[in-house]
Amino acid sequence: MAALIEHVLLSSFSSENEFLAVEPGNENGLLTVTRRNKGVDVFKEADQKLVKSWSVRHGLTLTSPVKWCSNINHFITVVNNQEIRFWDNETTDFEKAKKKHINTTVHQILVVPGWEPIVLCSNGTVDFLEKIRDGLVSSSSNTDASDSKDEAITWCKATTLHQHLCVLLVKQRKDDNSSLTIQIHWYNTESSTWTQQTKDLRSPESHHLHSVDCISHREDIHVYSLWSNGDIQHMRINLHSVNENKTIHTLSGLGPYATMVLIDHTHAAVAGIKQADEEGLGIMDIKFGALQTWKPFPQVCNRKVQLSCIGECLYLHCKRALYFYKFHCPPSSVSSLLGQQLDAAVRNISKETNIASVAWESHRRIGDKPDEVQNLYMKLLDATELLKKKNYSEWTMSSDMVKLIERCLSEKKFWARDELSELIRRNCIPSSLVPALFEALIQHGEVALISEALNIVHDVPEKALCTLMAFILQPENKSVIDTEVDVAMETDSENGCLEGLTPQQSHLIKCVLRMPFSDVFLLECLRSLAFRDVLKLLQCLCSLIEDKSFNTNIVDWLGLLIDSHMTQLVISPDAHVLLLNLHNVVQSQVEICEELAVVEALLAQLKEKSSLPQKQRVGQYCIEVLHVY
Amino acid sequence: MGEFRVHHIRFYEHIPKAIHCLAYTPVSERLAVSRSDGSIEIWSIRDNWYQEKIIPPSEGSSVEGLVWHGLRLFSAGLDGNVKEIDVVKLKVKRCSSSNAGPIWCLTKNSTGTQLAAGTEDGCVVLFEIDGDKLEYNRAFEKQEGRIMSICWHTSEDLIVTGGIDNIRLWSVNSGRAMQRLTLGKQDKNQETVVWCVAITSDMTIISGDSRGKTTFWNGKHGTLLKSFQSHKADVLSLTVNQTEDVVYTSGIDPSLVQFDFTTTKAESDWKMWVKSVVRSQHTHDVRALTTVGNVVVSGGVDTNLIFNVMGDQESNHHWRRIPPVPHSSHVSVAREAKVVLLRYPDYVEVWKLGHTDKEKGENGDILPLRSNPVKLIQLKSKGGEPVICAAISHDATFLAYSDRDTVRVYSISLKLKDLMQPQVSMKRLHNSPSSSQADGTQCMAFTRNTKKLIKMAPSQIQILFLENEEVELQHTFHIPHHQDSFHLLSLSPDDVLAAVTDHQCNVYLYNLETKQYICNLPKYKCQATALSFSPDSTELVVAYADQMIYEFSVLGQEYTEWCKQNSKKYPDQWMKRHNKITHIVYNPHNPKQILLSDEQIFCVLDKSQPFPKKDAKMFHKRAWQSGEKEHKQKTVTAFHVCPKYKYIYHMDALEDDWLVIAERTPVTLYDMLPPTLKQKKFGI
Repeated sequence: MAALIEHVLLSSFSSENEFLAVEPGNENGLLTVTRRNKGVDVFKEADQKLVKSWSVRHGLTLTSPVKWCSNINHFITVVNNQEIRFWDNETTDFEKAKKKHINTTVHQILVVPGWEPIVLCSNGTVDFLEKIRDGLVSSSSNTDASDSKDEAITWCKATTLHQHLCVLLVKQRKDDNSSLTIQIHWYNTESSTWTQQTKDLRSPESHHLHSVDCISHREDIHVYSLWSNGDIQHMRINLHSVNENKTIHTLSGLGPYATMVLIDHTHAAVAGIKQADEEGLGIMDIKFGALQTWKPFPQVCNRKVQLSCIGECLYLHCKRALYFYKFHCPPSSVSSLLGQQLDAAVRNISKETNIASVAWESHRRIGDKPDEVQNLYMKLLDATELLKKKNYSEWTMSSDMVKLIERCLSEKKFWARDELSELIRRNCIPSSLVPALFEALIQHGEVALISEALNIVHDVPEKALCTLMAFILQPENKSVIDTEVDVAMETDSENGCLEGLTPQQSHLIKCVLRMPFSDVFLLECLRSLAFRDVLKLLQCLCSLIEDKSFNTNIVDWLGLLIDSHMTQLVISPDAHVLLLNLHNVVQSQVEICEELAVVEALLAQLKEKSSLPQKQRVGQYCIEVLHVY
Repeated sequence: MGEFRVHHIRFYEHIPKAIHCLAYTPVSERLAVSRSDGSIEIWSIRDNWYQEKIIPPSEGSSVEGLVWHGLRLFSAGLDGNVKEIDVVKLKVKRCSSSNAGPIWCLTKNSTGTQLAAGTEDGCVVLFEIDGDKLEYNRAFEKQEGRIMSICWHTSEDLIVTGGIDNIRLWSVNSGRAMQRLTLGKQDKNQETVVWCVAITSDMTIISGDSRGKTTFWNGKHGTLLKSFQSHKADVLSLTVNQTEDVVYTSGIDPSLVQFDFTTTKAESDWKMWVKSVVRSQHTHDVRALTTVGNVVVSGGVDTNLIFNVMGDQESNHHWRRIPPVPHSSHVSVAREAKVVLLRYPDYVEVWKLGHTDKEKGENGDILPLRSNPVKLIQLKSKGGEPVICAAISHDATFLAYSDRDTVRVYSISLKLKDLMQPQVSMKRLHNSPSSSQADGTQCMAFTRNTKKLIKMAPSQIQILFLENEEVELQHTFHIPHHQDSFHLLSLSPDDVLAAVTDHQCNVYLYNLETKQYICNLPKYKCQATALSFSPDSTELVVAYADQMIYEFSVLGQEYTEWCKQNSKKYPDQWMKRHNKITHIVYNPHNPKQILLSDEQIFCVLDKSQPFPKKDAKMFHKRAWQSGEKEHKQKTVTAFHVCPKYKYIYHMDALEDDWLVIAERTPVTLYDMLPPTLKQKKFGI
């Protein structure tokens, strides 16, 4: 499990715009901090001490982060987007640095260990520093200069894949935020030429890009992008192909100024995740999509933060301070991940997804393209085939599925009986749709399905129970009487028929009475029951109690029923005989219970006497055996 | 070794009281200890801290000051009276009022001719005690504020008192305050109470106050020498040793702090008071401190008496806690009727013990009860007078108790067929005037035939005859020139012999039939603490305060052979024990065994078995803790110790293998105590 250690303040700045970047220094454990108008500082990471500093003349602005190029043993940077300066560690005066003027605007200098420094111009052209002759960029790029004027580079990075140098950059049209392209420049060492590929970066609808980062791992360069809706998209690039970017995870609670940096091929640090209305920095497992650790920002930062990862440290620029966090990031294990998921479930209940009929709500969509969805629904029509698959839970958890079931229940043109039956049998009805399910079943007179649903669906709302009860008790309800319900399941099938009711009705009533309920809600729902039904139900309950096969559920129902219609029962002459009968029945039961209580006391005494010996207590007095040795 | 069935009684609810005052007299080596209920205990230090007697409280009185003068004991309390206590007859001998309200403190002058009391009204009142009298002398000029503490300088003319916010020095001749030393306040509105003062012969005044400070003053100039924040709460008590170079203080913060008057440099004569050793032994407030030779005695709310022996070297230092278990028994057993009599301060209770059918079991088994113990009688003393002693006959047909003035005898009729509703009737027997006088009676016993009641008053032993619902004085044994009281009495099972002991280490034998004095047992160096006749009435076993046990043959009028052979063989570990053997009895089932107990152990002394070596380790720590069979001694010796019960209030043997043991655990005693001063302890 990844862990973040407490933050440490590395440096502070006089203004918020002063900080440009933090980069590795000329030695291990050293860092260069580029200040736009002030110069360059070299810090020692271990004790946060300033080791060296170069200041720039007034009027000069550093536009590219100062980087140490181990290949030429020089620091390198760009002044005022035009002048490249490089100097060694011994040079004390920044003005004495070697200068190279370039006509085009330089966006950034990129440094890859083992390679010459690469110059990235604002128009998207890329070349090595040494190849720039006479201030002209001799890039092999075939970029159309006219295009580049309308575009701005939002991100760039140079990396290697199997000895091949690759420069990646993301461009954004100035007039259209959603139009993003990714340019990939490969360097061919044999021909000493650059080749370029361009690919559109598809953005989720009306959402903008927060940040991009890439890492080369095994055969591919993996580009991850973070979008404002919380989507993390993944794109795979290799020498031969460039894949489409795909959403792999959706982060919840993302602030408006989030940014992401890759730590390794399975972990990314994301700054700007909100938890309990507080923004913070987290480490996310991008393989499994779990947020592994989170820490609030050292200070409230309502603007874009800058995040970098160097070695085992994360550097966070927040307002006028630069902090660093040490972190541990071991590879994720399934067990640690499960623990994390459980934690996430506790923290954010709305995210919980459970196949067995909980009210689920999912951000997840099955597919993006209309044809994919269509295919999916086509498959869904053959429900049995689909449900045979082991991973069908994926479908049932989606919000589309909820909508589908909802439609099945409410559709008047057809009645998807078999499909619903299958769903009920597999307990795939979300709890939010249970009332609708029973309503639909009642509407269609599906007594067999009701019986089945009562046996399988556990969390039936009290309102649905009352509606069901009213439905079953209707004398003119032929569907109940005619339908053959499998009453063989009843343990008391011999005398299961209640007075004045058919065996089917009796069976269904017993099923309803068995369901768990909350007396507060049930009392409220029972009030809506018609008085005629109340009397009938009372009669049923009375005969059930008389049968001595009752349980506490039935007694509770009886109490609640009388409670809910107290006044009417007292006033109505129809109820009097029934109530007297009920009283007699209850009285006889009470007598039996009293007898049982006596027996229970006797049995308890017997049990106590034959129980295992316990440690005896002296108390106030005892007679005990004493052996003196 | 021995298998017993034990009536384990825990329903005797003796409530020990907090210690308020301590006073020691080197003349008789006695320590007087007063408790919160106004009772005063007399402890013999010579007999290794043996509690000789308890002087019962008089109604509504408290004891705030105790002073010995020679063998005379004076007390003063909030009733405003100074009393002289008759320590033989256990009652007030003389009384004199202060005429200035309640008395908070009492002291005497060095020559012992006068007492000085500090009162609520702010007066110092002098009493004349010279020449066997106690008379009000005069009162000093009244000053504002009560006087909480007092001391008298050896020069006779100076009295120092501590009150509210000040210490005053008084001239005894003029009766006026000469000097006033003012104490600082910890809080603006909180007055500082000087709870204790002392003055040394070089005019150094030592005070302890409610700020928790121990202060040393120069009494000549009235200047502060040194002040120590020695305690976290009020310093209630202090004491100075005989050489006046060590001071001990303690109080609500119960640590005992020692101050030494010592040189600061090796070759310098300049001495100063320094705080040295702090001891934390008490759990609750320490109310009183005194020095007994090189021993510092302390007592307080936790009811324990603790003494620290102050050696020259810290390594030699040892201390002991004496729990508040009375050395005289408050429980009597009617052996035949299986009834116990429990004595409380102002009432007695009679309980029928439970019974069981089961005869055997493993060690520690609790046998199923066929009947529970039943309280049959609760007899309150007339007018709430304190009960001094009580007795019940063997068959529980007679009960007698004595208060300060009267001995009352009752006949009891018990019908215990139905234990759920026992029928009990009582009738007081008519006493003739001579037989009803208590006159300091400390001990009583019925003969086995229930025809006689033997009672012991100072210098006389009386035989009371019970017949026709009347009590008649039959005979009085007068002991000429005997001024002390008797404290132990044992009657032989055949009702012929009576053995009595006094505090002068004498054991007398009398014949009750011939009404003749038989003999004295050889006089031993310390007091007897328990004695008992053998079942055949031929031998008498006596346990002494130094743990020695002697067996005396009544017929031969000499120590028995067993005793002669073994009296020198008691192991060192046994002799080093401090607890007093308070109960001793022959095992009726096996007369070769002597059963004895002190407050911590029950022991079977088997006369048929050899004594261990002198240096034998009798009390293995593990065996002591567990009492398990596995840890028993490898070689069988005469001593068989059972440490199962703590604290034992009474032990007696009934017929067969039955024992009665009344126990009160330290935890129950501790639980009754009030909450203590909250102090942070590490890790808690």
